[in-house]
Amino acid sequence: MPGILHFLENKSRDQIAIWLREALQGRVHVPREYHDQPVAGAISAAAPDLGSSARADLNAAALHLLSGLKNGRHLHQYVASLLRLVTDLDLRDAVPILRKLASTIPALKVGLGWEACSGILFTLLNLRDLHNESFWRSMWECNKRCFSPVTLAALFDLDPNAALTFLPELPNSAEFGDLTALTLDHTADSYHGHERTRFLQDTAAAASKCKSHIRDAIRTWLKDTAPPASFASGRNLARLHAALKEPPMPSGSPKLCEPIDA
Amino acid sequence: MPSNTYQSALKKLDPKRRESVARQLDVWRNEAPPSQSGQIAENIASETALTPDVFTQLLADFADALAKHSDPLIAWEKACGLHTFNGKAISQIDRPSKLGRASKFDKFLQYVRTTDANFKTTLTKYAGNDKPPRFLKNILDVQPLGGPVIFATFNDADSTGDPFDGLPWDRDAIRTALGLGQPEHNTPDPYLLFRYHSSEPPALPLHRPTIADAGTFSHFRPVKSATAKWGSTHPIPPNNRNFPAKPELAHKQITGVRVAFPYDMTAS
Repeated sequence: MPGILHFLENKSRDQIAIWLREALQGRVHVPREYHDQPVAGAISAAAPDLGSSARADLNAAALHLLSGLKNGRHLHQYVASLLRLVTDLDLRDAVPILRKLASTIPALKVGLGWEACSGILFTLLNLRDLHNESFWRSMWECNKRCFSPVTLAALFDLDPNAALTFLPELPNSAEFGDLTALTLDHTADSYHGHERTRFLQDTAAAASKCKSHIRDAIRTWLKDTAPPASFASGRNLARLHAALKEPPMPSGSPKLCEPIDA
Repeated sequence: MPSNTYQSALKKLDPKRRESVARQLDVWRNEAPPSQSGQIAENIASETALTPDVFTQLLADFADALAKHSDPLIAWEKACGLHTFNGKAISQIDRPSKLGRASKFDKFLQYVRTTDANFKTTLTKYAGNDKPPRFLKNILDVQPLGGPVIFATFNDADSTGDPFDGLPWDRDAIRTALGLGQPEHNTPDPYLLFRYHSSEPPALPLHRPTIADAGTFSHFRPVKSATAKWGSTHPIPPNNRNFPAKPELAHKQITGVRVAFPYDMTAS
């Protein structure tokens, strides 16, 4: 069983594109580094060992296949694998193609299915192309149930405080509640001190306006999240718990009140 | 030396299929330089965990798949997919209640609907935390822990003990001892070390792994004894730290709902 390098070195760009398409479609075998490694992961893991010419051809082949997504029907697994490869190779040159694909989503001109469209949008985010709030809002308006997770991730990356106003609009789903908590947890870690406390307070206030699954997930996360002790003054804690509509923890509670750095 | 199981299974095939299978295995064995396909051919010839009837049907399906697929390894994968979990079931008395599995981020990034950065950061942040936030537990509860066939290890000295007992938690040690594959040359992700319960209702059927469970993964090695209760990992050479083989079994795909916290993460 030759390694991946065998398939990619000393081949023309066209040959590589043909091999790559068949590999991502599961029609040719791709040697894995571990038992259940995804095909895209196996290819991207081999990429750093390629010569510069073969590496450039692999990147070009991936971009070529991505451009081809605008036509016809594609297997969902193929699209998902191709998008994963583009992400793993960190192909920033894919951004214009992805943006073009995304621009056709509202008009439903892209015949890829909603899950694939969601994958395209997540790939843009994974490639650090944040675009702007109106873009994400327009995507969300297309299909709230499918695009809520990606819109949520994008808006919190763009402007967390503005994104909080989006939370009450989220569809009432336990999955979205958990993904919201994950995004909030990630976002909160970018704040320190008073800013963090303020963010938690604003989040608690936003939660009170949310639908039940979202609200419950946020409140559970807030309870799990201890603000840094040096800023967990009685007043701030009181505000936070007031927003949560729950009594403050007893004085001396180790979770919220003990100084971390002491 | 081919096992009797393999020889008798091959003999039961009709001549056309027998020739097709034997020819393909010869091609794999004679590849120069010796290849991973050659190892798969050796594994097929060494298998002892399949019953003769199942082994015969596996080889027959391989022959049929060879006629349909231009890539023989895809043909082998297709045939194997029809015969998973045919190794002997682990008996009630021998069942380990705690299993262990080393996994990479990419198993989860395929399914979780958030950005790679968010999820990697979250999994990293809560590694080693025995009380992870509810949202993470909920998310892991519905994520597959692996592919259609999951290989797991366990502690054969204490069935409730830590499956990773005795292993350093560095990436190279885990990869080597569990036989997970060759080292990656670029900057690989760490392994996530999950421990999970096999006996919580409904009890998870556990099987001695076979060549059909391994498919085209060439670092699998069949255990030579037909009466072995379970399989063994094949520590990846050169294994400079002399890690012993770890016990190994196979089970169907499950989600993270059985995971015991904390999970851990290997160091570099």
